Amino acid sequence: MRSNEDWPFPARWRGTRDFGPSKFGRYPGDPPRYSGRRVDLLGRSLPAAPGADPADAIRRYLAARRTESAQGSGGQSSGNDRPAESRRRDRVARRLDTRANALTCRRWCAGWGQLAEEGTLAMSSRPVARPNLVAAYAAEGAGARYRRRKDKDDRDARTSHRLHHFARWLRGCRGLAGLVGA
Amino acid sequence: MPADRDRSPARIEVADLLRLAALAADAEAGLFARNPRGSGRYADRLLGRALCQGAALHYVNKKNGVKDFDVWSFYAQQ
Repeated sequence: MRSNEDWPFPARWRGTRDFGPSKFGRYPGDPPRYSGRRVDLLGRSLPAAPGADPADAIRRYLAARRTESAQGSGGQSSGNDRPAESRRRDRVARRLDTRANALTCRRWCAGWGQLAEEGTLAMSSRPVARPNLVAAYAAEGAGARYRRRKDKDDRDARTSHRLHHFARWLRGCRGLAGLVGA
Repeated sequence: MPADRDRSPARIEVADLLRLAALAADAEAGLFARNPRGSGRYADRLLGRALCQGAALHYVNKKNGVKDFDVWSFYAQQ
């Protein structure tokens, strides 16, 4: 049987509830289904035994800062006990990582990007159904470059390109979920 | 003075905290019931709940204003 360490509380879960009509009124930017203030609900499982002192368990969780959410909360509650140099290094590393990903994608997409600029969708399978366009693009060199780089049939290359964009989309979703704390 | 005129300056009382706790308990009960062998393991392992972010700051300084409520629930993993 799996232990709870193997199955943490679903950190991506995010519940919402309506506080209902109250002295707090409602936030105008919220969807109309909220009659009062919106209540966002989140949860975490902490490495503590049932019945442990909750304040102590939460303090240890924030101090350990193993996750981004804990780092954020820890920064607000416990001040700047993490060296500024270490925080700066992390920021630079994240920025470089983002830039490297963007650069890789730009190179990867170069061939198809040119097709997109010329009026067809990079992710579309339409050119296969329109052989006159494929021939035209191949004659101009964009498709040929792409095929040479992948050393594959253009259909295979297009599939891998779709997967590449799907992976980017998934990463974006995960990043967004992280931002909202879900 | 609230930072945003859409924020409520009303004070957060203990009764409001209890209502928030009840809303959280209700939402989590639904989560546990949907997956009793997964997250449902945490049904009786609640350590505590905390009001966080802007509303928590408003509870402390009574100046920030309330835009929405963020309630975190913490569960014992061991």
